[in-house]
Amino acid sequence: MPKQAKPQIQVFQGTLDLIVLRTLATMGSQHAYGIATRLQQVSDDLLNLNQGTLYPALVRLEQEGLIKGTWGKTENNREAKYYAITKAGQKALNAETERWRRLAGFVEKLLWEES
Amino acid sequence: MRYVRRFFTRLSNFLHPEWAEREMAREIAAHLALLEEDYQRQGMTPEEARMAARRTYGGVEQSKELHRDERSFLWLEQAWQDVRHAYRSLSKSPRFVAVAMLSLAFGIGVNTAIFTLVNGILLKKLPVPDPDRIVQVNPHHKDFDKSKSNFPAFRELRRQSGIFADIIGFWPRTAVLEADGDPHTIDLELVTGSYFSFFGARPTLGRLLDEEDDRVERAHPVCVLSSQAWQTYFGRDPQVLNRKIDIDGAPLQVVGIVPAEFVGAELQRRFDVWAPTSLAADFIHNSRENPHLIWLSIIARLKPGVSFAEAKARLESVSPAIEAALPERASPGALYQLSDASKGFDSWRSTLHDPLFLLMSAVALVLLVACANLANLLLARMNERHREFAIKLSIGISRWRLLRQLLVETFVLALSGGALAIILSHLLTRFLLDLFNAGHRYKTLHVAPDAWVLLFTFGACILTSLIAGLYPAWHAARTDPGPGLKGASLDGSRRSVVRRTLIVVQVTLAVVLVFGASLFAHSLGKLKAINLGYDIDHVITVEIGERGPGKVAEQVTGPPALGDVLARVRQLPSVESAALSGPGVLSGWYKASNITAKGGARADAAILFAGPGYLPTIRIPFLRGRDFSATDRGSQPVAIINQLLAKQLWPGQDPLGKSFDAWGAKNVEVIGVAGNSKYQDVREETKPIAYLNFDQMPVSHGTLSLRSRGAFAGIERQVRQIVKSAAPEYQVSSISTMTMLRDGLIAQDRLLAFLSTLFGVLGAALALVGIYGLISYSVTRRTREIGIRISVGAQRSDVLWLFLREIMLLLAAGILIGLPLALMAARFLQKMLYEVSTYDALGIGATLVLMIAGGLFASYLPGRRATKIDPVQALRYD
Repeated sequence: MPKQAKPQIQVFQGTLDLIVLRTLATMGSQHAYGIATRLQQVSDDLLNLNQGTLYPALVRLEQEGLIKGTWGKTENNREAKYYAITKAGQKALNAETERWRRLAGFVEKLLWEES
Repeated sequence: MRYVRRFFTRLSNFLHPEWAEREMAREIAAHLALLEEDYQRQGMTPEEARMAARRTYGGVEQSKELHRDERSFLWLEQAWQDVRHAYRSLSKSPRFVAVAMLSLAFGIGVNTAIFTLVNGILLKKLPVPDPDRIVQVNPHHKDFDKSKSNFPAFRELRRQSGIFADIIGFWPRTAVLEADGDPHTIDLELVTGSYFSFFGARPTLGRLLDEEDDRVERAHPVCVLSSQAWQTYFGRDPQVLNRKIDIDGAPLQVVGIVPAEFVGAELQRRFDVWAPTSLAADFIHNSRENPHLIWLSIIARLKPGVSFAEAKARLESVSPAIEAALPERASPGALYQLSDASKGFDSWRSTLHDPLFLLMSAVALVLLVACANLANLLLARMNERHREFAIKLSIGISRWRLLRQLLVETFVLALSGGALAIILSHLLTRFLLDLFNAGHRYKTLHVAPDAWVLLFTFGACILTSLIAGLYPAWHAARTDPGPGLKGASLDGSRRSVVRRTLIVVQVTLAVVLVFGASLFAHSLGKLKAINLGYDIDHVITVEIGERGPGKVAEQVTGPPALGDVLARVRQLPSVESAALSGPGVLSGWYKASNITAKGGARADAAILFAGPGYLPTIRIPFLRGRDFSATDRGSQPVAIINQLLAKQLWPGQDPLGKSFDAWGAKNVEVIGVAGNSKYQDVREETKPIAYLNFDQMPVSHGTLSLRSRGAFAGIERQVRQIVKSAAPEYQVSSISTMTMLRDGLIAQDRLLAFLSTLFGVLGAALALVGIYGLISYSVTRRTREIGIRISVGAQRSDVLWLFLREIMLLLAAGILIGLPLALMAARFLQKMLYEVSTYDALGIGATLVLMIAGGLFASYLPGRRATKIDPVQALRYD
């Protein structure tokens, strides 16, 4: 049900965008399945992105001009849509990373002081 | 920037979803293929891998919806889809659409029409800044019209009150404009000097009227034209400013054009020409200074800082001073009072408030009946479509979405009905205004729909869709896909209870409407049957006025030219008798005077100047004495008085030969006593009336009444010709039959009777259509059962009775609930009824007969079809 799944996306939205951008920046262009598999591995299965979460994020980022999708072939000669980070995306990634670091640092500090 | 970019991509995806849709399908397919490949690599068979890939991926359709939601405006896309879906679905059942749309068009149409009136008469405010500071000044006399004043009083109000920032007076009337040699009847308004500046009006061309125009009587024969009149009569020729135009024979210089949007002090009226009150003499043949002339309507703007209550108190306290300043102590005991005029001068508002409120309630009931009808139709339709719903639900459409789809379908239906309703209401409003205005010669009601009316109609459409559509849609959305797919009927007992309840509701409401209609019809019948004290059939009245500047100083006793006209009219073969008077009865003109009898008795009486033959012509009976005669002209003034005045002045004595002073005449001798009759209104209490001899009174114009044997049109032409040739300095200012005059006086009752009948008929018709629909549906559904009954020996009449009995029960329930409701509601009508009890037995009887006969007839038609069912075929029927 779309309506029920939506709050989950919104909780993740900012962070998810950062994760996807970062993945594309380090791995180079990648298809959605590849991104999902990669994230699953990196997070030790903590982050299991279903398609209902990942695709909307890709659509959003592409519409915002931060990533660009082009059709290509996999090593097994299968058709797939490869997403690559754009210049604007790289800029946004830097800004987001900075923001995330400051936020994380602040939260970390706060938690440290509290305990 | 990136968000702006995103918005536009979403918008473009919304407008052209095809490309994005293909792209998405392609991407999902690719994704599945990759997954499948991985599983195969892990050692699954191709078949297993395919299944596993799909499982891992999850719901494809749901994922697509999420995708769409993100890339476009899903809700908008879905709403658009729903509208297209509704259109396709509806176009498959044109008969359903026709019936539903028509009942909605009527239901919403009458609501829109009545709301147009409510909006135009009760709700709109004057288009001026701070309209709540505008008040109306009402001189409160003992006997006179409470909303009009004389001119000297207006002047004193302006001079003495000290509470008004500005005060204006105005007098509307009809006049004859001669343009290109043709006479046109126009609406003219005489206004005081600051009238246009009061409303902040700016001229379209030239200038508007100002204080200087109005200062000295007859000094400035000028006028301004409305944009409409400028267009109609002068083709928007700017040269008109240099021209003199001829209005009622008076040459007036056009000085300006009033902008089209200008309304003035009365929101419900439109005028063609405005002239200053300083020209009153040209149009009423009397100086505006005459304190006996009660003609001006007055509104004012309160000075800043003066509250309504302060103003009211102040005005009451200066009333005696105003009265003292008037010539001839013209308004003894007048008390000047204020009332709110934020919605303009109260020409109709207070009289039409209750009727309009009533009509609005009645049309709301009609709309409810239409809603119940639609709900019933929808329920039947949902039943036929249960398989469609089951399929939709089983392929994963959410119940919420299905509910929404069905509601959108109803809404599309309601909107199309609404569009039709706007056309219907427009026609109805025009018809109603014509009906109301027929016979109103000096006061025409003008109401036009505006944006609020459109908004109202739209609101009514939404409300209707919800009332009628919510339950059927909710019920359909609860379809159980399992049995639904197998074709099981949805029509549980619950739903058929709902359908029967709806019929009862319809009958109940129709009973209320029909009973109300019967009361108004009965009341109108009584009003028409009122004994006026004279006989109006076949009497034509002709108002004859002077052409050109009024010869105020030259009022003469019995103008010879009018005498010539009378003599020639009397010779017409189709005229039985004719006479002059001033004013005529039922004409709307009042004359009144204080009467002092020789011997000291006093009375206030209505005055009517009657020429010889006037009373016999309209058939007012003589109780004693004689009529005026031609020989009275030069002798001592004589009068005829009615029975009531005789009783008031000389109780228990013979009035013949007695004398009194009245209307400036001394020692008027009573030569006859006439029967009591109505003076100017059908409903008025019997008034004391003194008939003074027309030939002996100073007059400049008169009313010619004639009893005819011929057709109205022919006589009208002949009379106009006679006036033209025998009295060229006069003109026919209006001509009508007395029946028309009477109908004008009961216009509101005619309107109410007509409308309540229309609503009663509509309500009843909708309820009967509902009954017809229920029974025909029921017959179709029970074909098998009827077949069985017939095959085991049921008589055809038994079958018919099966359905009639059901309807009898529903009718009985509806009547049992409706009649007490109707009787209760009728108590609110009491004030608008004339001598009809709200427990009117005739009305109750008529309502019962109509509803029962109608209901049985409506069910007999489809019921008869049931009796013709062939059992063999019926048993095969599924």
